[in-house]
Amino acid sequence: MRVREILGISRSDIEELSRKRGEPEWVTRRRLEAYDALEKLPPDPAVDEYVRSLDVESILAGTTPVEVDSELWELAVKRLGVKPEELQQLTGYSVTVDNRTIEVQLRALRERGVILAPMDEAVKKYSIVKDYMFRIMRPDTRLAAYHIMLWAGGVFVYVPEGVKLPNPLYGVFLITGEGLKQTEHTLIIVEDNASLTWVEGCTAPVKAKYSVHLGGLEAWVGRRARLDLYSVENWAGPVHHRPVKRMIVEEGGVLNATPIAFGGETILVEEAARLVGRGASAKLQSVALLTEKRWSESRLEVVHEAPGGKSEILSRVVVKDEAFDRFRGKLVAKRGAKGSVGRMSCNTLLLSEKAVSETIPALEVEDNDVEFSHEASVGRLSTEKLYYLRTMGFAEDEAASLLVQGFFEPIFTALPFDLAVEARKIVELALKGH
Amino acid sequence: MARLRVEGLHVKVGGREVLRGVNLEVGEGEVVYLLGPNGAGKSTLIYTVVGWEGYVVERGGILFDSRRIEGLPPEERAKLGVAAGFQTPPELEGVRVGVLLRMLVERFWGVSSLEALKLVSNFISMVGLPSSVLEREYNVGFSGGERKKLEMVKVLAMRPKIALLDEPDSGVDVDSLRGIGEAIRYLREELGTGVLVVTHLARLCRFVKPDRAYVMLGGRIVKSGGPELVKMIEEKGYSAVRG
Repeated sequence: MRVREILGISRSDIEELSRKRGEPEWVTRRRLEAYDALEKLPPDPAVDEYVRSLDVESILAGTTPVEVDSELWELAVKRLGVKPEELQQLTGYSVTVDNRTIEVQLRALRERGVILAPMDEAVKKYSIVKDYMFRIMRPDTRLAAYHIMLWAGGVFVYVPEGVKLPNPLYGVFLITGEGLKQTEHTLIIVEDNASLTWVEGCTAPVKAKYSVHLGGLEAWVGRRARLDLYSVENWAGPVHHRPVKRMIVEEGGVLNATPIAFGGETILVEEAARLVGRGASAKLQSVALLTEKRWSESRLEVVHEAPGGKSEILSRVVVKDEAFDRFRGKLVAKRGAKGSVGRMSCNTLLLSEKAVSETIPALEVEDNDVEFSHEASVGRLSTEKLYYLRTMGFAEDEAASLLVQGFFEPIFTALPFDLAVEARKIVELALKGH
Repeated sequence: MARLRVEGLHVKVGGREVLRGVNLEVGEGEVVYLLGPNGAGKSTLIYTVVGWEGYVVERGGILFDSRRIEGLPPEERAKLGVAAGFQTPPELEGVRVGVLLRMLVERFWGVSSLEALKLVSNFISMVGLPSSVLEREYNVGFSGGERKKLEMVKVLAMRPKIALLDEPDSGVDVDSLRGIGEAIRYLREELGTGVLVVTHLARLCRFVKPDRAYVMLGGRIVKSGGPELVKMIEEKGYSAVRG
């Protein structure tokens, strides 16, 4: 389907956007590549329909200043398990409101060569960005192509060779007001032997009437480097969450990516990792608590392109009320990816008769010497366990909440401490009145 | 006055009548043994008193401090002071022992989080479980003996007025039996709990002397008496009381 029909914009509108933003020529070119790709890619209703309602005019008009009052602020950072008064003590954080990155703080790490900068500036300031940006993420799906074409704002994170950051860096993404949109882009580069934990949280502190989040993230994990990535989505109100992520892992590198979804109205998460170096590993782990009439689809993919790689694609989802969940997992082994081991595992807990879950696993193997497996389980809360807890004095909804918390616990215990505390709180609140 | 009084209780499970007119009483601070062969209906009585799904009271009643409770949901009975130690409690994946027990102690003992932690660790050591158990998931990967001990700790954490213990002594070694006996003594002496202990082995007697005993056969109480009844059953078996 043609871009003009969906968004009412032409190629020259894109050129105009890029010019107004003062972007280098290579950025314009990559936006246009995405425009051209969209002309050819098959339609994707879960994407097209929502992109259609993006406020493209305001994106094309460039940036407008935004202000966030302190209450919204506090709410937003709390969602990441950070107390507002502790914000200044964090090693580093950035805040993106709508499509503007309004604040970036980095403590003491600059001397070690760490960079945390607004993406809009980074494309002009750091030459290294050109080598990675939209080279890890290509316009190979409609979601990725829309994002590349329309991105604005976001952050650039760079960790130099051998620098291991013991504390997480944080990215806060806010949508304010109604009818607005977010197309921020995050680029993370973790050089050889370096390590980083990146915690990002998406939230709309005030219920938006209708918003689309079309954020994107690219990450490059160097040789024997490590990246732990946690994305917590807890939009309030009818926000349509459409994040797209692409990651590349080099020899001996380790990637852990955990998207956690609690809010929003419809959610489509697209994450793909390529293991390009020998012995690289990736774990993509989708976690969600879907309530009311939420609709969610997770598309997770790991492609083994080198020998001896290890991958896990995991999904742990609780579906309540009339919510819908679809999981599409894909493990691919390219020719030469000898000795690769991959595992896909889905655990779904249904809390009501009307809750729906679909699991669609796919394995593609071009090399014989590969060990791939997948397993799935869908269950309901056990009556025996509920009664057992009720005989301890827990009301039925409390008992259910305890069991659901237990279901998530293996994931939550592995989260950074403050985030785990907050995640448990969110689950507890969401289950109240079950 | 009896804390718990079961009157002419008829109970069906899956359409089959299992209890056929049970009469029984447990008073404050009393330890009462309920003896009987497999299938006599002892566990059914416990499940019915706590209000488990599928145990249908056809006739008769359950009185707790003179109040009828057979129509109450299980959580309400627990709040009144009824606690049970089950034979094969389920595994609660992801629910940490320490977290659950602390919640119980906070609620039933009305103490602060810190005080609750102290009590929990006292109870844990009373039954002879290591403190590392607090970090484990509830019953997950526990041996039969460990489950029995954890059930006892759970009952203590609930500070009950009536405790119904379903074979707390089976499948545990002698050392564990001592810990379980200690917990029952604590219930009786420190908390004034009335304790009904279901058992078909009398070896628990070495650690906790019963005040009274009942013998159940075929869904009815066929004999009641003092500690001598336990001794008699131990020596002669149930044939001595079969009609």
